[in-house]
Amino acid sequence: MVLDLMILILSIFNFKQLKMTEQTNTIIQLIKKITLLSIVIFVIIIFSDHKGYFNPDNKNNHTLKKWNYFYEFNKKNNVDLLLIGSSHLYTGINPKNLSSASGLNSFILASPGTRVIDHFYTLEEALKVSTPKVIIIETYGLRSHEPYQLKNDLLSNQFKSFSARRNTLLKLQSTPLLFAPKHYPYCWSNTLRNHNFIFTNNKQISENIKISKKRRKIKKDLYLGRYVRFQTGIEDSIINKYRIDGAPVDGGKYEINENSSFYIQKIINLCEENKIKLAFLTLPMYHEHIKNYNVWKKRLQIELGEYGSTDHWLDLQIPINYSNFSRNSFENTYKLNQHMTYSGSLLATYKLVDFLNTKNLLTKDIKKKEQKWRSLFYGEEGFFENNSPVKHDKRNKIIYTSESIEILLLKKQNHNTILAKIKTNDTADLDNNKIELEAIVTSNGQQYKQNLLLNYDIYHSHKKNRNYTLNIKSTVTEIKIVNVKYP
Amino acid sequence: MLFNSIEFAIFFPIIFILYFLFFNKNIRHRNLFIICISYFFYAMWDWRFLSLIIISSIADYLIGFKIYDSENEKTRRGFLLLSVIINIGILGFFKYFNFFTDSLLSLFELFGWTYSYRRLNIILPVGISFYTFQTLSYTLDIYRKRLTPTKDITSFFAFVSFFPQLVAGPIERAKDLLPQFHKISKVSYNSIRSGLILITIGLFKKIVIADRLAVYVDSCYANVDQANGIPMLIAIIFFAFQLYLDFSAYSDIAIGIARTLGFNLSTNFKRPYLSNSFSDFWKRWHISLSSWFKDYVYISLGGNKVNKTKIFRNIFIVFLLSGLWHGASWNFVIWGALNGLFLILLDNHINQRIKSKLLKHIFIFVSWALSLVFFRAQTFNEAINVFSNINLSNKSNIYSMGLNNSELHFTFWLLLCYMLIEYINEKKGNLINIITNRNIIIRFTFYLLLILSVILLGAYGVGFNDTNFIYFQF
Repeated sequence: MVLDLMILILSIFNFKQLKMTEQTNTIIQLIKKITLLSIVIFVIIIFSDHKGYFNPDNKNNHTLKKWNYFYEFNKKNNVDLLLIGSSHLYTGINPKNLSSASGLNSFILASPGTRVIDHFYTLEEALKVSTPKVIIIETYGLRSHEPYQLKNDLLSNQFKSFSARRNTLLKLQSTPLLFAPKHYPYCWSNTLRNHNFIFTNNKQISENIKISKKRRKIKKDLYLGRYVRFQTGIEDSIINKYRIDGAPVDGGKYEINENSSFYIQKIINLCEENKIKLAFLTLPMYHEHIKNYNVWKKRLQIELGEYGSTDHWLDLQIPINYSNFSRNSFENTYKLNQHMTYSGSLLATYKLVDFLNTKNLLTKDIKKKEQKWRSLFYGEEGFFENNSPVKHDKRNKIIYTSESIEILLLKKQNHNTILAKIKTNDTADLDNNKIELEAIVTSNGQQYKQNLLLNYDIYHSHKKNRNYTLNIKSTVTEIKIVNVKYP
Repeated sequence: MLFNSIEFAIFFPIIFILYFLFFNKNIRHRNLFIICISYFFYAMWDWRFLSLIIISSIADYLIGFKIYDSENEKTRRGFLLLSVIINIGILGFFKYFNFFTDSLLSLFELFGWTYSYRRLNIILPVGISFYTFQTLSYTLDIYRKRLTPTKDITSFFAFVSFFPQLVAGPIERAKDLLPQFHKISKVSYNSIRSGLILITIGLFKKIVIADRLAVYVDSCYANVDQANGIPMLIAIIFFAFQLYLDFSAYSDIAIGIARTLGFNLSTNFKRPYLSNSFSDFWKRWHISLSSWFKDYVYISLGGNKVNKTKIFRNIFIVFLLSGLWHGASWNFVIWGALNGLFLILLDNHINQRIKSKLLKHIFIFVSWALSLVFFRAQTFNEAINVFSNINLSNKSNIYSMGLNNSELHFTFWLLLCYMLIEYINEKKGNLINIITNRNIIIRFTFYLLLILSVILLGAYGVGFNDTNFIYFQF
C-alpha cells in the first residue's frame, strides 16, 4: 500500500504519462463547455454589478463618494494630509477648515464601523494614488477585529468600505482578512449579496435600473470626505440617564487582539517605509458617556509604542474642563457609539491644527501662497478664518488691517458677517473678551455711525488665529472702521 | 463541508480534474485517491471521528473473511454478531447512550428510585447512522452468502468512505457499489453531463426551495404561539416539502457527484408525494433505508411469510426502529410508530374507499405531514403545542413569519410548479431528459436559467441562517 502511494505520487508529477485518451478528450470537451457557461454567468453578474441593479440604497453612500472624490482629487492635486478612520473621524473633523488652517490639502478616508485592518488597506490603496506628507489615524477603530463574528451592521459597513475601494489586487489581498469565507462572494458582488431584493426590496431594484440609465458623473465640487450628521447636542434626558445608569461605554471592554495589533504595526511600518509622518488622533465622547477610559488608553499606548506619546498622539478624550468641549459638542445619544456634532467637530479640527503646528508635523504653509491651492479652497468653509480675500473679490473684502488684526466683511447667503482675526501666539483665554468697533456703516444707500461689538468665536479659532464675529444685515454694503478696541 | 458551500465549490472541481487527469487509470490509485479525498471531506467536520470510520472499515473487512471462511454456523453467527456489536455499539454509544440512560432513569423515577447521574457530553459524529448501516450490510450479505468478501482493501475502504454518500446516503449495498470499485469505470460525456445536471437540480431544490421553506418553518416552530392558526398549518405543510426537497436534493447531488466520477448510486426518492398508498409511499421515500430495514430486519423477523398479526408486528417493529434510527428521541419513535400504524390501519381503507388518485395523494400527504410534527418538534410537549395551535380562523401573522408577501407567494407557486413537474415526470417520463436531449440552444438556455435562478432566487447569503442538510443530523 505504501509502495502504491509512492507510485501514485510519482505518477502525478510524471506529466509525460498523460496521453490524450478518449476519456481525456471527453473531459476537455466538457470543461470547455462548462467554462463557456461559467463565463456567460460571470459576465451577467459582472454586468449587473457594474450597472448596480442590486446596490443597496446609494443615496447616502458617502464611503463610495469619498473614494470617488479621492481618486478625482488626486488626478489634478495631491492629498498632503490624509486622515483615516471610522465614522468618528468624518463626523469629528472638518477637512476644509483643516486645509484652510494648515495650508495643505487634507482628505478624510473614513468609513463607518471599520477597524484597523480596513484602515491599513485604505492607507495602502491611498498611497498608490497620492503621496501624503502626514497620515493621521483615528484610534476608535484600533481594536479587535474578528471577521468570523461580523454581524449585520458591522458586516454591512465592512462591505460598504470594501466595495468602495478600487484596487483589485489589494481587495483580493484583504478579502480573507476582512471577511469570513462564506462572505467572500458577497463582498465582491452586490448581485450575489443582495439578490433577495427581488423579493424584499424590488423598489430599490427599479430605482437602481433608473439610475443606471443615467450616466453617473462626479460633481466638480470640493468634497474632502466630511459627512456631517449631528447638529444638536446632548439633551437633559441623556444627562439624567448618565446620572442614573452610568456611562454606557466601558473602556475596559475595548481590547486589541493580536491580529489588530499586527495591523497597527503594519500601518506604522508602511508610513516609516514611505517616510510619511504619522500621528494618531482620539476624538472624544462626552466625559460622562465613557468610564474606565484609562484602561483603554493604556492598551492603546502599549500598541502604539513610541507613537503613543503626546508627540504623536492627540488624545482629545480629556477632562471636559480643559477641552472647551461641552454638551453641544456631542451627539444626543446613549448608544455605545457617540459622535461629535458640527460645532464639536470644529473645536476638534482646530485642536488638531494646533497639535500639528506645535509638534512640527506640518510642513510650513507652502501652499497657501500657491495660486492653485488658493483657487481650490478660496471661499470654501474655513478659508477666510485663516486666509485673506483677494483684492478683486467684491463679495468678501478686507475692511481694516494692522500688524495684529485683520477685519473682513464677508457676504453670506442671508446675512453678512464681520470677522476680526487677531494674529497672536498669546495663549491667554480670550473667551470672555470682545472687540469693539467704531464704524461708518453704509446700508440701503444711507451712511451712519455705529458701534459694533464682536464676540469671540471659539469654534473657529486656534492658537495662531483668534476670531471674533458679528452677523449683520445683508443690506450693509460697506463698513469703514474708525476705531478698534481689542484686548 | 456542505455540498452547497463555497468550500465544496472549490473542492469538487479540483478533485474532478485531478481524478480524471491522474487517477482514473489504475484501480488502486483511483481507490486510494477516493479514500484520501473522502477522509479529507469528512475531516473538514471533525477529523477525530475519522477513527470511527476506519475502525468500522477494518473490523468489517476482517470479519467478512472470517464469516466467509468459516463453515461452522455457530462461528459464522458469532463473527456476524461481533460485526453487529462493533457497528451498532459505536452507533449506540455516540447516538443513543444519553437517550437510553435518561429514559431508564426516568423509568426508575416512576417507581420512586432516584439516581444522580452526570450526563456524558457526547458529540454525534456526522453521518454515523449512514455509514454504519452501509458497512453492516457488507457482513450481513456475506453471512447470507449473497456476497463474497473483497480482498482488495482499498476497494473496501473506498466503498465505506465514498464521500458523495458518506454523510447522508443513499445507504448503498456492498453488492451494488463495491464491484464498481473493482473496475475502472468508463465515463462518457453523457454520464458526466447528467451528473452535473443532477447536481445543479439538487442545488436548486435545496437553495431555492427547501432553504426558503426553512425560513418559514423555523420561524413558526420557534414562535409556536405567534404562529397560531393558518401560519402553523402552512408551516406543517411547508416542512413536509422542506424535508423532501432538502433530502432529495442531497441525494440528487450525491448521485450526481458519483456519476461524474463514474459511479452509480441507487435512487433514494421516486416522487413520494404522488403515492397511492402508504406502502407505495415507503417504496418511494428514502428507498435505500426502507429497503435496508426490509431486507435485514423485516425479512429476518419473518417478513410476509407469517400470519397477519405477526406481519403487523413486524411492520411496527421496523417502523419503531426506523424512527429510532432517525434520532435519539421519543418524538422520532412516535413518528415511526404513527407511520407504522398508518400503514397497518389505513392502507386497506385508502384502497377500498378512496377512488380518486388525487384524493389518495392528498390523504397520504396530510397524514405524513401531520406525523412530521413529531419529527420536527424538539420535544413531545412542543409537538402537542403545535397541534393545539392549528386552526383556520387566525390568519393575522401569515406574512410575518420570516417570509414576506412576495416570498410566500413565490414559494407557493414554486411548490405548485414543482409538483406539476413531478406529475409530468410520473406520467410522461423525465422532463429534464426531454429538455437535455433537445438542440444546443435549448440546452444551453436551460442550464443558464437553472444556474441563474439558483443565484438570483436562492435563499442564501447575508440575512439567511447557514442551513445544513436536515439528514446530516442523523
